[in-house]
Amino acid sequence: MENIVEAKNLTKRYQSCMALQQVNLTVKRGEIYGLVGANGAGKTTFLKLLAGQIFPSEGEFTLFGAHQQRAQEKQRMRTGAIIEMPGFVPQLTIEQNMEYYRRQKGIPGDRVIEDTLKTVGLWEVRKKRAKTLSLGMKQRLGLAIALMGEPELLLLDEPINGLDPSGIIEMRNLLKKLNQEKNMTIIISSHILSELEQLATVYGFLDKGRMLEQLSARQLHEKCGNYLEIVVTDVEKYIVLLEKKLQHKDYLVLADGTVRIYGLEKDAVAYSALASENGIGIRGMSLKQNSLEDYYMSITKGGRENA
Amino acid sequence: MLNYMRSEWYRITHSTAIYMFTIIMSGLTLVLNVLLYALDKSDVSFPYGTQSFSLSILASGMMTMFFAGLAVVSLLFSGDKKNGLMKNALAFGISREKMFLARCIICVVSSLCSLAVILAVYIGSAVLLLPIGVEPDAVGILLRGVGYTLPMAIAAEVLAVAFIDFMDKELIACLGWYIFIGMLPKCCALLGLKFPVWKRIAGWMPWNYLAEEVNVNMSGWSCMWETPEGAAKCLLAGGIGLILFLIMGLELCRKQEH
Repeated sequence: MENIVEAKNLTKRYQSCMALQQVNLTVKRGEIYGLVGANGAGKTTFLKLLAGQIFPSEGEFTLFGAHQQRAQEKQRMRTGAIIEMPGFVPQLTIEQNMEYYRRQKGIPGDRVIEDTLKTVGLWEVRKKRAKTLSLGMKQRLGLAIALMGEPELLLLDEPINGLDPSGIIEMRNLLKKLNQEKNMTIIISSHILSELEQLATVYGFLDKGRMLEQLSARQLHEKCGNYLEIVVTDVEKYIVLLEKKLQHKDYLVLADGTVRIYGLEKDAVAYSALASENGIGIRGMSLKQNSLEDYYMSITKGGRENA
Repeated sequence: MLNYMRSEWYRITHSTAIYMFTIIMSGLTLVLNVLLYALDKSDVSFPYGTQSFSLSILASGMMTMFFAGLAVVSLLFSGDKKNGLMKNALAFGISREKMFLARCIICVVSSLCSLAVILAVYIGSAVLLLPIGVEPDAVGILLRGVGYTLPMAIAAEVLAVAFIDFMDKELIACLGWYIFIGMLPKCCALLGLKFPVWKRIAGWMPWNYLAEEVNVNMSGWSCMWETPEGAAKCLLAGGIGLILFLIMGLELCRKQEH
């Protein structure tokens, strides 16, 4: 599969602050790449670099194979983007804003405006001035602008901010549809990890400007797997037994004394039997599935902020 | 770049800013001439109710065109950064240099259209309502003056685009513009009081020569652009200013990229 974006040692420095450090990343055609990270992790910086709004301090990236800055500018005609807040002319109506961008992108025919506005559900309110729109509608307008002309690559920075629950579902379905039917490549960052989990096919975990890990959805699912939470009367004795008798070292003792056992190789009964056979009482036990959020928290050692 | 210009032209013609500016400026000139006409009719000894006096207001203050250019740039492009229009254009593959050049062209074209209407109302109302006065060729001199000052007015507008595009705060951009257009020439003129070389340099700066070499009053008009040397100076200084400010704007674009 063709590499749409390939970053090598990409670094962005703002005076003394390192926004992005030595990031290596590959996005292939047709992928939905989810950028996961806390505030200040470098997600927006990375998207801004791809969109040509800022330039790398070190390292490089290719966009549709283009390496040079001028060549990348040409390739950006094949992209659509919403980075931070969607950009539009507040004084113009929704339809006029679309016309403004249709001309800017050099898209022939005005049929595309009707089609795109219908896609994002703004056709009925096309005569409304952009400045009077709600946050959710502004977000939809931003998406319509980005989608116009069916770009091959979509860069979306927190695109569901301000959307109501039905808007979030519509946006998710729309992005999935575009990805499946048009093979559109999407790079998306979101704070709402549960939402990202339903959409992304590949994940990149950023923390303090560093790329911690890059995983496919399948790899993530395998890594997350099941884990067992067990609450016992004597935690210290139990973990000694766990290590010695079951040779299991992949566990975590939470602050409240709960033992979380990862990488289950045996039936859950074996872990409860270990306690009961050695005179340790069991207060509770449950089998759980790791979510993207749990995984993110585990690799960033709990995270500094809510992701 | 052509697509970007087309989109910007669409935006400008579908927004009210340039129309409002043109209507207000034309309205002010019309009010001026109507007022002079009314005063002239009510008092026969009133000496200022003439075309010469009315048109002398612009002829003696051609720098007004520079400020008008700044106002147009500010009206058309301020808020573009805040509204995310520039970042979108970048994301769609338009380089900063192309964006800057396109905005300069669009701004100049809009300003020229606006200027044509304002001048038509200004001169037209003066000719229709007022007697000629001390300078029989006031209209011709004024129009030639506008023509010869135009290159520098365009240069000042290019500088305004550069500053408004690349400075975060509009007030700072306007101050920066005034430092270049008004204060720097004044400083050079002050240095010229002591050092002859600075006097020569200051003499080529539009802010200074338009103030010192244009003498328009109730006894007669003496305008520098009416002599071949003066006209050449206006054109040359304007041309140099235009090239200088274009280079400066492009340099600011490149600086933003690194």
